[in-house]
Amino acid sequence: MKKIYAIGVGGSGSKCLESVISLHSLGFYGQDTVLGVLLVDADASNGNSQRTNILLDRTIKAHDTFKNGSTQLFKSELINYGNWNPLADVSNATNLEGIFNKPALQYQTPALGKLFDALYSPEEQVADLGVGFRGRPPIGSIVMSRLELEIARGPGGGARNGWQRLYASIQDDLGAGNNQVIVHFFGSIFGGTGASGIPTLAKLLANQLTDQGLRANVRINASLLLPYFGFEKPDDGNQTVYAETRFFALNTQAALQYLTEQAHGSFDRIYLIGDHDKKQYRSFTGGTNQRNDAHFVELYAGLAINHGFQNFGNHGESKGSYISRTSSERLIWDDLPDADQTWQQLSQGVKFAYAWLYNFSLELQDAKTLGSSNFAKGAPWFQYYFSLRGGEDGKPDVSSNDEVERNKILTFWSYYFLVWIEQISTSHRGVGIWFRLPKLDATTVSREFNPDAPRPYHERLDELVIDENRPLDCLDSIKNDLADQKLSNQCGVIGLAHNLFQLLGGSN
Amino acid sequence: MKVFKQWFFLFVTALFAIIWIFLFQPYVLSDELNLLSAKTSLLDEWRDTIMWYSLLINYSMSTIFTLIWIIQGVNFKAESSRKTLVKLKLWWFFAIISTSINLSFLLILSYILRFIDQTGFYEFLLWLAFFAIVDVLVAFWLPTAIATPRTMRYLPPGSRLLRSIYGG
Repeated sequence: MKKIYAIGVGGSGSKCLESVISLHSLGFYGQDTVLGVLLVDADASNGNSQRTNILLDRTIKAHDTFKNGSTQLFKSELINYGNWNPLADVSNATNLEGIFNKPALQYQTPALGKLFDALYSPEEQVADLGVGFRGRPPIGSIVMSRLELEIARGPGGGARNGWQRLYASIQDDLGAGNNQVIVHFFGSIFGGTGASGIPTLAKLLANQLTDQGLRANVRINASLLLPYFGFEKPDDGNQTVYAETRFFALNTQAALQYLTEQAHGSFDRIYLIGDHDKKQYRSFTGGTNQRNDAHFVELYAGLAINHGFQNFGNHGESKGSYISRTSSERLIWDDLPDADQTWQQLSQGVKFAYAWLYNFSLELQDAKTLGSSNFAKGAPWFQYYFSLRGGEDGKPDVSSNDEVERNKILTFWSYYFLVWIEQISTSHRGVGIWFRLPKLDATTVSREFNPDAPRPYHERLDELVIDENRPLDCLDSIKNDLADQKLSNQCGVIGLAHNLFQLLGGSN
Repeated sequence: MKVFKQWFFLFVTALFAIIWIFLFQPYVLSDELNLLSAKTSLLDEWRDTIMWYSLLINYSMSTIFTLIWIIQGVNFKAESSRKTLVKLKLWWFFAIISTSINLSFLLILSYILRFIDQTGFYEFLLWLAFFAIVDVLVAFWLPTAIATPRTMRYLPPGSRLLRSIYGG
């Protein structure tokens, strides 16, 4: 059994986790794979993290509900280790002055006090870190440097936070003889939290594993994001400490230098991913408004996990590889790693989510309204999954609470999955990539999507995937296939969902 | 396999309709069975004109509407069951219009050829009117219920039961 611990550090890290979670739902990392997810962010209210949390929550519910189906959809286990705010573990204070108790520092060790003043401007010392490390790696680094002491004390007293629960789980895996354990970090190295957090946390983890003689059995990899977006100066009132695009290159250089010189033994593999065309996001310093659309760079970051499993066990090798796009004007399927598999699984997932959100979920709602028997006259597939006589024939009643709830769970997942993939497909400058999806109202992601709200029916799938050579017929044909082909005998929403997923995969 | 069975049984029902309309029904109205109480010297003329034309119209109307329905079924694509159910109205329209044409043709032809006011022919007219309705069942309802393709397959009344018999 493969076990992946995906740790997203900072806003970009949490966005990468959206990719990881979505890919895992489709079985991209293998059927017998468990994915554990931990979000690390000092900014608990960060919009990016919130969106990832919603997706994670909805995806876990989908996994719990649909895991026993006949396809790889939602088959693998998904564990949430929660959100961990390292700042909260370090101190109750929310600025550097408070965290390091500057008056005491100046009084007890004047030299350190002066060094503190030399390294950090007065504005940086009092900047509110409740919204993250403000795109300043030096601020993040000094806070994260205190973590080592705090975390190391943790396990003896039981797992208190997400990090410690995750570490305890790694120990359990290794104790159970699982030798395919990967810890994969995600985050940017040109901002604040990721740039400071990933090297520190990886080193901390590597040291802990080494101390316990377990390091050789765990891969520690990282997908590090190089600059791929930019923004204007945020409107933060009087605040003068904020992330600035002009520092990104410098931050990146410093982080790479640190990784080269100081991170020996911390990482087994590092994947550096960036884009020379900077996507322009609206500028906010942390908080719920910092909710940037998903970007294809984050998909690449998520796809790197599978590469981390290849040649598992070859510790000590030093090898450099690269992947680049074939054209700077656009991205095509062949530009993705494992292009055939990625195309097949992503296409299948997108068609499935689209078919469910814009058709099957609405059909099941209609069946409830029209009555099963009447509805089935116009839906040949229906009788194979639902009872026409109120559940008397051994099949579930479409109006039962369980079936209605299952439909809702899958509709929620479909919506959030499509929001993510729609953002990915429009993240390239000037041209759509990989998928052609209708614009979904991403603003509702911060609130809650209402699966009962009216939405249009769609039934054509052949326009969804760009560059698909074999045009797919419409959902009407798929529905007839559901009625005509011998698929799994599973009934209800679960059986319908898995058989639909199977058919959409087979039609590629 | 289901699709093959469906076309096979369409062929079977079409054959059955031909046998029923052009062999069985004339046999019922022939002298051999002697089911008709009325006897007239004009019977042979009546059979050659009214009966055969009437049966031909019964068959033609039902077959035409069946073909139109089957072609609709092959080409029809709907995004939802609700939209498919709208087609049910078309099926009933075909069934009613087919029956109406059969009966109208029978009455009009009988009137034109002056059989309608001749005593002794009411019994024959009633038989033919009965066949005009039965023929719609045999040549329209049965094939469409058994072999409507794809999404519209369960729209004809009783189709679910009939198809379940042969596993279609």
